[in-house]
Formats: sequence, C-alpha cells, structure tokens
Amino acid sequence: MLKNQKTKKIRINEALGVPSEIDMITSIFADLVKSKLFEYKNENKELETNTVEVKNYGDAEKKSGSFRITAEESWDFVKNSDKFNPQEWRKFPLYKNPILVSFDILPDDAFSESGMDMPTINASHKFGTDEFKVGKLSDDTEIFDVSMFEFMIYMGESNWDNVETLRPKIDSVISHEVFHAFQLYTKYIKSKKIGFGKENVYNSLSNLLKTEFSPDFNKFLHVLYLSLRFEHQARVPQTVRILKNEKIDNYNDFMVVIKKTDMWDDIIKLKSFSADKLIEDMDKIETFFDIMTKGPQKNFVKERIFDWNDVVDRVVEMSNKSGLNVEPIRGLSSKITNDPEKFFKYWEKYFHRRGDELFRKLTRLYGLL
Amino acid sequence: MKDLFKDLTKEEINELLTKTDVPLTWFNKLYVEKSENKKDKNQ
Repeated sequence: MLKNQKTKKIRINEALGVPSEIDMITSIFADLVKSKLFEYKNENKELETNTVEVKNYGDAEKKSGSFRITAEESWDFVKNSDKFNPQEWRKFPLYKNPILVSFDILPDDAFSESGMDMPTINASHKFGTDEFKVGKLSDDTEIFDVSMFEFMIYMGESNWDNVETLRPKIDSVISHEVFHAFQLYTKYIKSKKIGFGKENVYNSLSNLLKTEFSPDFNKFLHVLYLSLRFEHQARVPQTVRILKNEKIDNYNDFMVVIKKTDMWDDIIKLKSFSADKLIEDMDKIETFFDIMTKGPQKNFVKERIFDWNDVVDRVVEMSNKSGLNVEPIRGLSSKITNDPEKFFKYWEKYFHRRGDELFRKLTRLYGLL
Repeated sequence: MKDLFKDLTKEEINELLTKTDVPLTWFNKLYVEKSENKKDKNQ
C-alpha cells in the first residue's frame, strides 16, 4: 500500500515536470558544495578583502573566495556518498562534471538595505559539444558527462558563520542546473539531438548580444531568456525544492512562499515587460553611467533590431557548425524590424503570453503539496 | 551586418552557444568595487 502511494506521488510529480531521476544527484551535489564551503572555512583558507559600496547601505567590507571541484573529485564524492544508489543513478548517469564555486560575504544588513535576498545564488550550466555523447565504461555502464556547473554565492556574514543556512538555496539552484543536464540527456537518448532545440537559439542570441554592453537592450535580452520554455521547465524542480522546505498548510501559505522564488520573479518580469517603458528608459539620461552607456546604445539598438533576422540566422548557422541541432527560425517581418517600437511591442505580447504560461505552471504546483 | 562571432575563440563561441542562466549581474548589482584588493585570512 505504502509502495503504491509512493509510486503514485512520483507519477504526479513527473506529470508536473519534477523528474525523480534528478533528486539523488541534486542532493549529493548540494552536500558536495556545502562540504567544500565548510572545508574552505575550517582550513582557514585565504579570503580576499575589499571595500565595496552597497546600494542604500554605503561602504562595506566584502570577503571573497572561490574553489574548483574537478570532474574526478565530483564523481568521487557522488559514488562515495551515503545517498548514492547505483540503480537510481543508472536512470540518469551523470558522471564526471566539474563545478566552479565563487562566493562573496557581506554584512547581513547590506542585503536587507539593498533589497537583495540573502543569500542570493547565481548559477549557470554549460556543456561541451565536441565530445557530446552517452559514453560507456569498460563494464558497459552508460555515463553522461558533458556538463559544467558554475555557482556564484552572495551570502551574509551569518550565512558564513552557519553554512547550513545556505542549504535550501543551494539545493534549489542545483536542482535547476542538474535539470538542464537531464534535459540534454533525455533529448539525446530520445532523438540523438544535441542541445535544447529551437529555443537554444534564443538563449545563444541573448548571450551573444549581451556581450555588447547596452543596459536597456540587455534587460530586454534577459527577459527573452526568461521566456524560454526549457527555462520554465527547470524552474519547476527548483521551486519544488523550496516549497518542500517550508510549512505550507493552505493556499495563502503557498503564495507567501512562492513570492520569494525565482519562478515568481520571472513571472513578474515577463508580465511587467513594457515596450513603452523600455523605450522611455532608453531616452533617460540621469547619471554619469547613463551618459557613458545610453548615448551609444541608441544607434546600436536600432541597428541590432534592423539586423535581427540576420543575427538569428547567423546564430543558427554557428550552432549547427558547432555540433548543436537547431532548426532555422522564421524571421520577423520587415515592418517589425524597421521600427523599434513595433519590435518591442511584438515581444511584449510574446513575453506576456509566456508569463501567463509560467503562472499556470506555478499554480499547478500547489497540487503537489 | 557586423559578424558578432568574429574574433572569438572556439571556447568563447561554445560558451555563448551552450551556457544557460547567465546572470544579468549589473541589473540588480549588490555593490560596486571601491578599493584595491588586499589579502586577508578569514575568521
């Protein structure tokens, strides 16, 4: 009976996009990152000290550190963990994956005054296309090791005093990144295709154009990345990890917790995107920083929008050349690319629709609890 | 059209094409640097 209930629960989770295959690895990776932070602290390793100016807070002392967990080290830790279950691992055989961790420690008040969550963790996932395959060990066991993970942790001094307080955030962020590896793995197993599909192009395009520094256009590119469905899918396990750590008795409790998650933040950014506001912001020159960046961006943005279809085609071409499997993307009409206002209005509608989609995904999570 | 891939190394191109969740750090940046770094020990 109990076994049946457990199976039913797993199936409901999977129907909502929370695959059980990533649970074990997520949990072990979170242990790994946490234990390395403990080690760093207990071995009294060197921290860089620097004075920084925090928004609404003033001068603060920032301490920073970083460490790299090699591919071998990550696998050693995984296979020797008490949580490691070989049968479970074979369903998603994430093998030797390097992890880079950097962290900043600031006074707790610096977070509350500046309005930033404490801790805040930025993470990213990338993969190599050259050696992308499901490999085999000498005993024929399948393995998958194309992923590289990076974490940047902004923590308060109290987090550093008690590293355990970082656990819920580390856990949720890792589940998001491990889920990306799982998406690549399942896609490759099912279709032998490499990458996240059509939307991989928009992710690459966003990365590429962000390298040309233009504050307002970069905000638009960031929302474009937030609108991608493979990102929405990864927000589900990430949010579920947060929900599982909270006491939720009713829908009100659920909404209080959900409003602190990245998923909620993404919905707000998508739904509140306004073409008019963006155009208005581009014209606003209020600070020295604005003079340096906003002046040049006016012509630059017009040019990028005019060239939009060509840039998309170039990304598709480079992606395929680099070993990714992506299809050409239908271009926007010249009416849209000739007029920045029409261009941003087009995307505004698109982002609002994607925001609604993500909100529907979020409300279904209540059924999981 | 300016070729944005021109002058990039193979590794840089791979990173642009495959990296997800690149943060928009300056968008909600917590701090700005003020002084030269100096080494210190923790605790």
